[in-house]
Amino acid sequence: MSRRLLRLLAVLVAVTAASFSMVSLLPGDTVTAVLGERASEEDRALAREELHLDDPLPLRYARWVGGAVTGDLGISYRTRQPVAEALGQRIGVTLELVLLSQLIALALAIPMAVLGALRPGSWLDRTLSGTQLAMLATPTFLVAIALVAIFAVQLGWFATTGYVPIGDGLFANLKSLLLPSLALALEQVALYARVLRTDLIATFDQDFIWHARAKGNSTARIVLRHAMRPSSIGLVTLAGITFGRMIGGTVLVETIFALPGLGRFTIDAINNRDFMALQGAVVVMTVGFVVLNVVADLLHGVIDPRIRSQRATAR
Amino acid sequence: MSAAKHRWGVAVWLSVGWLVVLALAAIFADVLPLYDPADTRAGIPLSIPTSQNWLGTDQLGRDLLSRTIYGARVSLVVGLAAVVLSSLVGGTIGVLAGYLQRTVEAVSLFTADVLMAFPSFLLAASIVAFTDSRGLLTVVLVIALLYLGPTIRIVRATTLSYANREFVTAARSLGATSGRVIRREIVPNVVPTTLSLAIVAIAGAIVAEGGLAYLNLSVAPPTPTWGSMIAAGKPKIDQSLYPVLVPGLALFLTVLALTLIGDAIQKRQGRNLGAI
Amino acid sequence: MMTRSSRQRRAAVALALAAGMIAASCGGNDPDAVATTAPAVTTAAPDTTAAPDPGTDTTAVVETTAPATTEAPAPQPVAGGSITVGLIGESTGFNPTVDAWADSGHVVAHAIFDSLAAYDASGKPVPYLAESITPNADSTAWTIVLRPGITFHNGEPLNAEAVRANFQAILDSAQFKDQLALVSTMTAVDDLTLEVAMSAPWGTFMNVLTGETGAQAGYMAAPAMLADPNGGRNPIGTGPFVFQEWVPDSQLTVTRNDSYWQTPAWLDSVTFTPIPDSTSRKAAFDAGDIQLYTTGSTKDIGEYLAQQEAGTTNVTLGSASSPDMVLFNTAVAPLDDVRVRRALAMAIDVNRLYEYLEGVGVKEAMHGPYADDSFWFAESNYPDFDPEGATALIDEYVAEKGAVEFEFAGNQDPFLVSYQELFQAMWADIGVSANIVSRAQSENISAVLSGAHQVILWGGIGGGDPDKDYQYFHSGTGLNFSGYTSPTIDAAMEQGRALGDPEARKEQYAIVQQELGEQMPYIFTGTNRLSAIAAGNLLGIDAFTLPDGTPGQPVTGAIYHLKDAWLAQ
Repeated sequence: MSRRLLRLLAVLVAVTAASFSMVSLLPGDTVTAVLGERASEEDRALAREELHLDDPLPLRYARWVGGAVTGDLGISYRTRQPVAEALGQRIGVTLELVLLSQLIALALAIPMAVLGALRPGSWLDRTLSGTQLAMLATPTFLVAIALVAIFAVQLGWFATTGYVPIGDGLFANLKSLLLPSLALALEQVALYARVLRTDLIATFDQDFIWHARAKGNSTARIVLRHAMRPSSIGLVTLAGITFGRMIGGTVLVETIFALPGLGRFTIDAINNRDFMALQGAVVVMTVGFVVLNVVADLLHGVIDPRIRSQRATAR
Repeated sequence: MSAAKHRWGVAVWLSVGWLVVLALAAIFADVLPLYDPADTRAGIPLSIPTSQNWLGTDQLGRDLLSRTIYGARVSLVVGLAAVVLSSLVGGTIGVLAGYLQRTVEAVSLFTADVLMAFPSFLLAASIVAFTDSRGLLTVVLVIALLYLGPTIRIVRATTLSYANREFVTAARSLGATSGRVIRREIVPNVVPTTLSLAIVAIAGAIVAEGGLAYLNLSVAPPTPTWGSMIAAGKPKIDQSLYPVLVPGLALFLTVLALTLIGDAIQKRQGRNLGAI
Repeated sequence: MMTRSSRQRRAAVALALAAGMIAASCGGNDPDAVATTAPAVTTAAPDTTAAPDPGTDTTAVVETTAPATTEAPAPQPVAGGSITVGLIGESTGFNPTVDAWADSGHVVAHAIFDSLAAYDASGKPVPYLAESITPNADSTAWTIVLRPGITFHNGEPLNAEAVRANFQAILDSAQFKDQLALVSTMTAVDDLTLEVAMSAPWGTFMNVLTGETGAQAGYMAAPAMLADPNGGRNPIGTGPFVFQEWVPDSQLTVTRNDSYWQTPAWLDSVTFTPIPDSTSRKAAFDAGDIQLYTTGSTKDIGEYLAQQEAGTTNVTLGSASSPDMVLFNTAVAPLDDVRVRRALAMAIDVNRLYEYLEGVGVKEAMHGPYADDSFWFAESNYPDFDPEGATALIDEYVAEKGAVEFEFAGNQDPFLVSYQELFQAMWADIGVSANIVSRAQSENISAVLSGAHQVILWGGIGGGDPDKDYQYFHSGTGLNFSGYTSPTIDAAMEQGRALGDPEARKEQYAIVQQELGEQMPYIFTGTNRLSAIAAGNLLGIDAFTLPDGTPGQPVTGAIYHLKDAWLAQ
């Protein structure tokens, strides 16, 4: 385990180093990004000095890491806001969005999986499987636009953009996140349901379930008391990994619904050549990925969600 | 189960049919009786389907049928090329890692970890945005990069599962060189096993291109792509659904078809693998 | 200006890119520009009543309905209540000497800061935060006298030293220094008097003190805020509202300044929230989530004007702001040839642009940088839509020098990319190939500032008082993005700045317009006007009282004041 941890730490260093050098090597002059095109030569020289731009890359990276471990991720070139502070303002939105979408996904996936697993091959199971495949095949951004078209434009039920902080009321907050989290949830529903269904079918085949059944327990009781727990390891692990992955995967949904989250912050940083902000965002996402990987590892060693689910179906 | 198998059979054949029709239409778009996809006088803007414009027109009066077919070119080329590229590169690394193991394996797995820990879509977006190149090649390369990490891992794992099988060890003990064993024993087994994953990856690559195009980070206009058509249609979605619906449906059907085919292949292989 | 624009019969196209590009011209990168998915097009509701002539018809609608809240037996304002305002985009910060604002930024700035001068109802700048602003005989020195006893929100006094600090910050700023280009020395005569000496006569100095677009030098920020590197995130002014909290891309809150130097504002607090998507902004207004927002959509304005009669909304029409335009770099081939520039202008059927930008309504074409019904407008040789003539010019050029091909830059907003494709198609019709380049706004700005552009969608030039365009038309400013310069234009722009009499200035600007109409360094594709839509019980958006009690200009472009806004019980 500690070896695995060490390895993930190494991944973290490699990712930040790679993004640091990528960002430094890609076209676009940092000083111009900071001062604008019309800055005088003296100002430029001063800024270069202030930003240590003439130092060798490894030294600059080391300095940045030194700041990063103490929570100083530098200053945004565009807004001059400390990057750590900016990220702090946005990470909450993204985390809430992802969490909510995971809850929706699980709430939909579990009943679907149970219903399918109870009678594998039945018309219900086949319909559900077909639905799941369709969900898997619908790109998230398309779902998001469809939701906007239906619920905002046609029905007018939601003002589809903008984020209402929890401070302004829990209901309003959840309402502002409902459609975006639904859009994010759909693909996960399919993945989760497929994994859980397969695991449930395998569990149902085992002796202790036959035993419970022979004792005359109701189906509901068997599912809830006996089968669910041993069957959910795969699901929990998959959910953990997906959570980590989605922290960086909300860009399109946040853009479509104008949510002030991490994804939109990052795409803004990319579009404005705000290297420091981009670097900070990459770190947060990578740390999120690594941490949740460790968590998932604690639960079960699993590789890629898609592969995992595909293996499940392949069984 | 045979009934179910038959059902999937129909779905798979329909899927193959859709992809073939789409591919043929995309290849022969120039000789088909279609409007020029850039012709803003193909119809009145935001028209519903008519006898002139079978699927309606977009916000500038361009024919949606024509644009969707031309858009398929980008989607299919990017999907195929990106996955072929990542399969060739990632596949080679993965096979070597799984077969040679030790340092090669450690290094390539670490590389895969790093690639996968990167917020991948944002990585692609930054490269396109920063290099300011909107060519097909750039888009193919960045999307191939997205699939490199997973491909290395999967191929390596699959290779590993064959590397210690009797037929491989037998070949080795008979004095076959590593190259020969890989060529003759490993690759012929690994390729079919990972094929279904590659097909699903094509679907993923097409979606990724759509997402990049939606952010205007794919091929430059006026070349139509499904993602950019959807993005351009969205501001006027309250006036007409067709500019979003038509390319959206094409994207959905294509991804669904690839998913269904991948799923079916996998099911069949599941049985075969079990039989080994 | 308001009266003129209310009379303005028809429409205006407001590609909000223009608003964003204003920031562009200042070297900033304002998110409003990126945020403009808005089909921001304005007309005064062509379909609200049925009359034979859509023009006069809409005038009637505007004049009977728009000023309703002021002309009806005015209800007495009451204090209390809070509103949420939907903005088009977020700003990079709120330091007037650092952050280049589009309209959205100015709306927030008007709440927190006061400007030294403001426009009166006739569109003339008058002292506002300052007690008096007076020139010497030849406008080479100006004296700014402040009102006693005004303090910033943090308690610092507004004195001559504070004004000097604000001006100095502008002069030290690479992107803003041109706003005060002619200022040579500043001397604090006493605590409340600042004397500003100019390096050349500057008759229109007060214009740049109004705190409008391109005139941020007018806003007075607390010296402590200017000295604070984080000042832009904790703005401190003298304005009617005090800054409380800002979460970028989410919301910014201000509360009433009870020790305001004028009658305190009525509203307890105001929350500003950026909603970049126009459809969503309207949906949020209809749902009651926001009580005030700006739109350029003809369709929406028409709908709200109809509702206004029922008392459920209040529509305030904005004045014309800078027009939609295309900028050429006249220094590079093939755009160095006037025939090509002229042909490109002649190829544009503005009605097709308007149709895309809105889909309904008659829009107003332009024949130069100033709208046809503007005081400053002068006839010139500016071409009309003429594809045959354009093709002939291009054929002539091609025969001599080869094919016409260039880069046509815009930003990444899908709505604008489609708009560019329309230009591309119309230019293809005359045998020209334009390659669309979609870049981040900030990259476009860099390209233009370094002269790396060829043809680009631009904004911020033209409209309003021509002196504002000095920096763009004159050869000596470094902001002449078209690269087209001439001694005639330089002389006329200098004269226009030095003279005081409007009619005399107008003559000078006529010279400029005639030369621009001949040389075509820019295509002006349409006038531009937005409107503020307020909830039925939110009154006073159409009011802006000056310190002496006379009415000022409530809405400039899409920038309104919230000082006099109040909620009816």
